Amino acid sequence: MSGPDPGFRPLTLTELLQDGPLADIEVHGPVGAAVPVTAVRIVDRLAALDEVRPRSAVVLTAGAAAAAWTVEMALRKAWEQAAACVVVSREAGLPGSVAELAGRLGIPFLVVPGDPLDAAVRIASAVARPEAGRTALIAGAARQIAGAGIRPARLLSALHAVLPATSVALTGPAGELLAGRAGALDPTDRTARVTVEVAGPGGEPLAVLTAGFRDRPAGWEATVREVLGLAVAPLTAWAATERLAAERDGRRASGLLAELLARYGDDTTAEPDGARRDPGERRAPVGNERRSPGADAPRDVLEDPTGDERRALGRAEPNPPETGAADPHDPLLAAAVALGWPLRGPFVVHAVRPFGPAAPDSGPPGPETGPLLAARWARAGTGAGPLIAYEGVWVAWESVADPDGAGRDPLARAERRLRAACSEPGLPAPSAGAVAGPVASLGGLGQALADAVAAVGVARPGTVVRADRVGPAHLLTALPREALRAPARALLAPLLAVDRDGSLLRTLAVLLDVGGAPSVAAARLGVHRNTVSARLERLRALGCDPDDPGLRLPLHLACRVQLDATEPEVPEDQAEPPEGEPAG
Amino acid sequence: MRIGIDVGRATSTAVLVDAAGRVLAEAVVDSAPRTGLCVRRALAALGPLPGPVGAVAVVTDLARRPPRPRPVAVLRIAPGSHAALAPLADRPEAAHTALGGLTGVVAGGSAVTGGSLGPLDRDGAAAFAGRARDAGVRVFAVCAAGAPARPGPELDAAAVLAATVPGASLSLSYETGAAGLRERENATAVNAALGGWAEELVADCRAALRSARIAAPLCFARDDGGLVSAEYFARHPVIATAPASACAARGALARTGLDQAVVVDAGARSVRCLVVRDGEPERSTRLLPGPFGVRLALGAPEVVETDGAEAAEVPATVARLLERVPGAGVLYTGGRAEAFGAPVGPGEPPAGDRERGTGRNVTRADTRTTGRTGAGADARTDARTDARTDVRTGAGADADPALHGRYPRLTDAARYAARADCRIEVEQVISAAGRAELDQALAAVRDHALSRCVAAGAAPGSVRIESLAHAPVAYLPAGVHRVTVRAAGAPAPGATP
Amino acid sequence: MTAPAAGRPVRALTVDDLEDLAVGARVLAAGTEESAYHVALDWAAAELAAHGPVPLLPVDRLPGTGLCVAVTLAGASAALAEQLPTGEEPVRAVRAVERVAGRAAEAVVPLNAAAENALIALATAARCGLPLVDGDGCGRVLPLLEQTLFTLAGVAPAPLALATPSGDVVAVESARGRVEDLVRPLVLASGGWAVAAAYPMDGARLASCLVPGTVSRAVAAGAATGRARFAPWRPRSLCRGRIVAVEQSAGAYENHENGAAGPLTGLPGGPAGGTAAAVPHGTLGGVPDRVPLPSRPTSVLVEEDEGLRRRFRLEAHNEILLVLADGAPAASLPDQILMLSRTDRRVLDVERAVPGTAVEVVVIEAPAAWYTPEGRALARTGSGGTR
Repeated sequence: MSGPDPGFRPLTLTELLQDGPLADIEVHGPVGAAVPVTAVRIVDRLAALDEVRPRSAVVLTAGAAAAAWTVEMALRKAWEQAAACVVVSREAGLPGSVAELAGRLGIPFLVVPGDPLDAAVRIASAVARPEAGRTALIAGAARQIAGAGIRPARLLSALHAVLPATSVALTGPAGELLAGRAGALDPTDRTARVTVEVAGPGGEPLAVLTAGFRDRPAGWEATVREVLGLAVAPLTAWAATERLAAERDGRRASGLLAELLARYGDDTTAEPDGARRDPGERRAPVGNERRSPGADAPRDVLEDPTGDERRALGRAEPNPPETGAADPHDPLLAAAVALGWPLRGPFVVHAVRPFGPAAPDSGPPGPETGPLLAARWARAGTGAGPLIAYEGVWVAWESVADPDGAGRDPLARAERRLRAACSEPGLPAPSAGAVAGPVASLGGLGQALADAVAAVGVARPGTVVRADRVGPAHLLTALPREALRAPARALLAPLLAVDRDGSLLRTLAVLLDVGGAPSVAAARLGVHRNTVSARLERLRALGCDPDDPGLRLPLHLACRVQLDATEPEVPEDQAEPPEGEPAG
Repeated sequence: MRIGIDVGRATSTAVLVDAAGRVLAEAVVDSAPRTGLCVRRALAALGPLPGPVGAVAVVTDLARRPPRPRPVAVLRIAPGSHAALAPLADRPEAAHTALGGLTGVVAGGSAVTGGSLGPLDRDGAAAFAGRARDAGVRVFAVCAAGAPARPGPELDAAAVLAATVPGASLSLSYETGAAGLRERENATAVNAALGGWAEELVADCRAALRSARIAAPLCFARDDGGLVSAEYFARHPVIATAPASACAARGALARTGLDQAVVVDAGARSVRCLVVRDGEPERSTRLLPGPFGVRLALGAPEVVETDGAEAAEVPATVARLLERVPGAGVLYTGGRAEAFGAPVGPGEPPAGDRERGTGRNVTRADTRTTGRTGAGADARTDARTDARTDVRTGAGADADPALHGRYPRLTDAARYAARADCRIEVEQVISAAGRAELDQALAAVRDHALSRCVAAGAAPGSVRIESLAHAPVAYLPAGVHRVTVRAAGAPAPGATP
Repeated sequence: MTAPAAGRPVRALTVDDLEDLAVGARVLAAGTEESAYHVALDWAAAELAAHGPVPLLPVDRLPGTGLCVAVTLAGASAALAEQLPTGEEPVRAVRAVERVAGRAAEAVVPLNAAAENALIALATAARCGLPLVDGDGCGRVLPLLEQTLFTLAGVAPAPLALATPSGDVVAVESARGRVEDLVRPLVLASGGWAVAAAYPMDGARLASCLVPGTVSRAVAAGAATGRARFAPWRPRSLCRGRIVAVEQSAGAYENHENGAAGPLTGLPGGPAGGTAAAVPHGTLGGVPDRVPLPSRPTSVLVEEDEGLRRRFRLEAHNEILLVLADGAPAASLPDQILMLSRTDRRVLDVERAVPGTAVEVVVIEAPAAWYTPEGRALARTGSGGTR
C-alpha cells in the first residue's frame, strides 16, 4: 500500500471472519461489531502486550497461550489496550472459562486450528488488502460453482468447498434431502440458517437451498446468501435439462416412475392411509446399494420431523425395518424433483386414456403423441404433475396438501378439473379420465395409480370417473361393446322384434339391475307394479326370463350392450353435485 | 443370601438380603452385654432362613464393650532417637497402664526412601524377646523405620522373636502401612493389644452362628466401611474398632441413592455426624486419638461425636460439616433420628417406644474412648435440652424438602454390612527411577493389594482395584512416591468355616 | 551469650508458649505433614522441659558483633517423620558452623517461622542454651535454602553445616548459588532430612535484613481464635465469593531457555524487559529433580458474590501463586495468597477445593524486600518449585 488512500476502508473483524482467510474458526465474545483491524501483533510473552496498539489482532503463540491464566491476562490486557481481538490456537486446549471471560470483557476471542503463526500471516495479508479479501470469497465461489456444472451433488460439494464450516442442503418441496448435508437442516446443531429458494424452469418452486452454520459475525449471512444465489441458476438449468430429456423420451419418465414406485410407492403392507415409506424417512438405509456416487459429503441422519411434518409426510408410524427405508440422498428423488413430480403427500392421481391414434389399445403412447399431449396437459391447469406413460395410459398426480381445505373432497375437485381438461377441444384425441386417491404419501401412490388406471379403463370418452365410485354400470360399460353387439342382438331378437318403443327392453334391464323385484323395478321405471308384472309375463313368453339362472347374465349383458347402443347413459351420481362441492 | 448384623449399645439389628441385595427380612432386638448373645438374638428374630447363607457380616464398635487389652512388648527397629520420641513416649498414662510399658529399640530399619539405615541388630532383638518372655509377655508389636518402603527388617526381626518366644503373637507395622514411624508404631501396638479382644469376639460370634446352624463365613466391618474376614480381623483388629457410624452412613446413602451428604447417626448414648463425599466417608486430615487415646494415622473417617446430653450442639455441627459438601443434604440414621428433625417412617414405632427398655442392659460406655474428636467435648453443659422434642437440625432437613420422607432406619448399618464387599487399603512408599520403573512398581503394589484383599476374605474372582493414588513425596527426588491402593471383592462364600 | 541491653525485659518462651507457637506457626500452612509436625512439637517440648525457657530476642536486642546462626530443616518432612531425630542434630550443626566461623554463636534465628521450622529452631535454641531471635529470614514460606532475604542482602548461606540423624555432620563452604545443589544430594544420602545451620553473621547485620517479630506474631496468632487468629498478618481481603470451578492447569510456566523472558515477566511491577536473574525459566514441572511437589498445577475459579461480581482465577501449585480478577492480576507471588473458608475461617487446601464452597480470598503481604525486582525473581524462581 502506498500512502493513505482516502478511499481506503480498513478491514473489519466481521469481514475478517466472514471472508474466509481463517477457516474452521471458533469465535467467542462479541462478534457483531464492525471493529476495524489495522494490524497484527504476535505475542510470545505477556510483557509484549503492553506494546499492543489499539485495533490490533493479538495472536498468542503457543508459549503465551500455554495456560488458562496467561490467556486470561492477555484478554484483559488486550481489552485494556483496545485491541481488535485475541487469537489462540485450538491446540492450547483452553477450558471454557477462558472464553467466558472474553464474553465478560467483551473482547472478540478467536480459536483457530493449527499454528497460530499461520493464522497471523493470513490475518496480516487480509489486513493489508482488505478489498481483496472482501471480494476473494465471492469470486472464488463463482469460479468453483461454474466449474461444478449443474448436477446438484457436485454443486453442493462446490458450495461446501467455498463456505468454511458451513453445511448446505438442497431439499425438495416436501423437505426431503436431495443433496448436501442433513446437518444444515438440524435446528439444534447450528445456530443460524440461510435459505434460498430455487425456482423451476417455469418459475414454480422447485427446491430450497439451506445453509447452516454456527454463530458467525453479522454479515456472514449475507455472504452465504450471495454464494447460495450463485448456485440457483445452475440448479434451475439442471431441472430444465432433466425435463427436456424426459419429454423427449417418454420412456425415461416411465422408467423413473417404475423405479420410484418400486422404492417408495409399493407399500402393500401398510394401512390404506397409514404408514408408508417416504422419501423423507429418516431411518438409515439398510443394505441400500443405491447410493449416489456423488454423495461424498457427510451423510447426516435427518432430524425427527415435527408433528405437522410427520402428518404431512404420512409418516405416522415408523416403517417395518425389513422394507428398507429411503436413502436421504436418493438421486431418484432429485430426478423426480427435477421433472416437477410432486413428492409431498397427500396425492390425488389422474389417469387419462386418449382414444383414437393415442389410444392405449394401439400400444403404449408413442413419442409422436407424447409431446403434444404433454404440452396441452401443462396448459390445461389441472394442478397435477406432468403426464407419464404408465400401464398403457397417461398418468399424473397432484399434491393436494391444503391445510385450509379441511373437510373438502380433494378428489371431487380433481375430478372437476380433469373433466374440464378432457373436454378441451385442443386435445389430440377424445379422452377419458379417472381420478383416484387421495393417498397420504408416496407409499400409497402405487395403489392409487392402479385404482386410477382401472377406473379410466371403464370410463367412456369425454367422461371422468372417480375410482372410488366405479359402480356396476361402469363395469358393465367397460365391456367390449362392438364385439358383443351381434350376439346380444341375436339373444334379444325375439324381444326386439315385438318391442317397438323399447319399453320391454328397458323393463328387462331394470329388472335385472334390481335383482328381479317387480315393485322396485316399477318404482325405478315410474310405472305401476302391475304394468311390470304384465311386461314380465310377456318377457317370459318371449323366452327372456330374468329369473332363469342360466339366462340371467347373458341377458343382462345383452341388455346393457343394446341399451348402450341406443341411449348413452350417465352414471346417476353425476346427476347431482358431489358432496362438499358447492353447487354451480 | 447374606446377613448383616449391627450390634449396637441399645439395640441389635439383623438384615437378610438375597443375592441381588433385596432385603428379605429385618429384625431389631435389645442388645445384651455379650456380642454373641446379641448375634444369637438377632438371628433368632430373623426367623427361619429360606436357604443357605453365603456370608454373615458383623458391625460392632470396640467401645460398646471395652476389652481388657493384652500387655504388649513394642520393638522399634531404628537408629536411636530423642528420648521424647521413644516408643510409647507420646502415649497417655492410660495407654501405658493398658498396654504395659515394655519397649525396646534395636538398630536397623530404612530411610523413607527405602535405603538401609544399617543391619538389623538380631542379638538385640533376641535379647528383647527374652526380656519379654521373662516378663510373661508373648504379644509383640514390631515397627521398623522405613517399613512402608522396605518391610524386610520387620520380617527378619519377627523370625528372631518367634524363635526366641515360641507361639508369640506378632503384629508388624508394614501391614498397617501408615506413614510416620510413631503413628504406625502406635497402631501396631494397639493392634497387638486388641488381638485378644478380636479373637474372643470372633469365637463368640462363631458360636452364635453355630447355634443358629449357619455355616457361612463370618466377616467384620472396618472403620471406613467394607468388610474383612474373621481371620483377617483377628490379625488386624485395629482397622475395625469403630465401624458403626461409617456403616450406618453408607447404608443411609445407599437407601436414598445419594452419593454425598452429612449423616447424623443418632444413637442411644451419643450423636455422631460425618461427611460422606462421593460415597466415601470423609477422612480426617489430622491425627486422631484411637483406642486407649493413642494417636493414630489410619485414615479413619472423621466422626464428630456429641454426647447425648449436649444434643443442642448438633445443628451447629451439621451446619459446619455442610460447608464441606456444598449442596449436599442431611441424612439421618440411628434409633433417635427423629429427635433431630428426621421424619418418622411409616410403620416405625415412635422413638420413645424404641428407646424405652432398651437402655437397661447397656453397659454405660465412655463415648470418648472411641477415639473420635468430640465436638461437644468443650461444649457448655448448660445447653441441656430435651433433645427428643425440641432440637431440630435447621440446616439440612428444612433446606431440602426432598429429604423429608426419607425415613431414618435403625437397620442402615446392618443393611450396608449385608451387601458390602471385602475391602482393604494398602499404603506403600516406592522409589522408581523412570516412568517404566514406576509403572512396574505400581503394578506390584496393585498385585499386592489384590492378594491382600483375597486374604481379607474376598472371592479371588471378584477382587478389583477400587482406586490407586500416588503422589511424589515433597522435597524428595522425583521417583519417590507414596501409593495408596484400595481393593475390594465380594466375600468368598465358604472361604472360612 | 550476650547480656541483653538495658530496657524492657526480654521475653522467654515457655512450654505454654510453645503450644501457641505450634498452632500459630501453621495457621497459614494448609498442608503440613502431620506426623512430622508432631515429631517437631514433641521434640521442642522435650528440649524446653529439659533446658528451660528460651529468651526471645527482639531485633533491637541482637548482639551487635555476636555471631547469629540461622537454623532450618533441610529436606523432606516426610523423612523426619520416618527417621526420628536424636536431638543432637541442631547442636552438631551449630557447632560445625562455629568451627568454620571460628567463634561461638550467640543467638539462633529461624530461617523461616512456619510449621516445623519454627519448632526446630526453638528446639535448637533450647538445646544450645542460646536465645532465639524474634524474626526469620523469609517472612513467608519458601522452600529453598537460598530463598531468603539474607541472600537478597548479600549474606551467603555458607559456611553451612548439615547434621543428619545418623550422626553425620557436613560443613559446606561454597560460592553463592551452588549451596542448594550441593546440599540436596547430601540430604538424600542421609535419609532425606537434616538440620541445617547457615547464614552465620553478626547481630548487626542480621538486624538489617531480618523480618522482625515473626516468632512472637506466630505465638500471638496461636493464642487467638477465629478472625483474630489471622489478624497478626494483617490480611487484605481480595474477594468474597464462591468457588465455581476447579480446573487442572496446564502449568504454563514455560521453560524459556537462552534468557528469553517467560510469560510471568509481564506481572505487575515485574521487570518488563526481564533481566537474566528475573527469568522465570524454571517451570513448575521443570524442577522436579530438585523439588517435586505433591500437587498438580490447579486453577480455582471464584465468582465474587458482591460488588463488581468479578471472576477470580487462582493459579496454584502447592500454594496460590497468582490471582487474576477478570484477567487482571490482583495478587501474585511473593504475596502470600490464602483461600479461607467463610464459615470457620480455616485455610483451605487448594487440593481440597470443591465447587460451591463459600470462600474469602485474602492476601498477606510479604516483607518489602521481596517486592524488589531481585526479590521477586528470587521468590518466583524458588517458590512453588520455580527455580
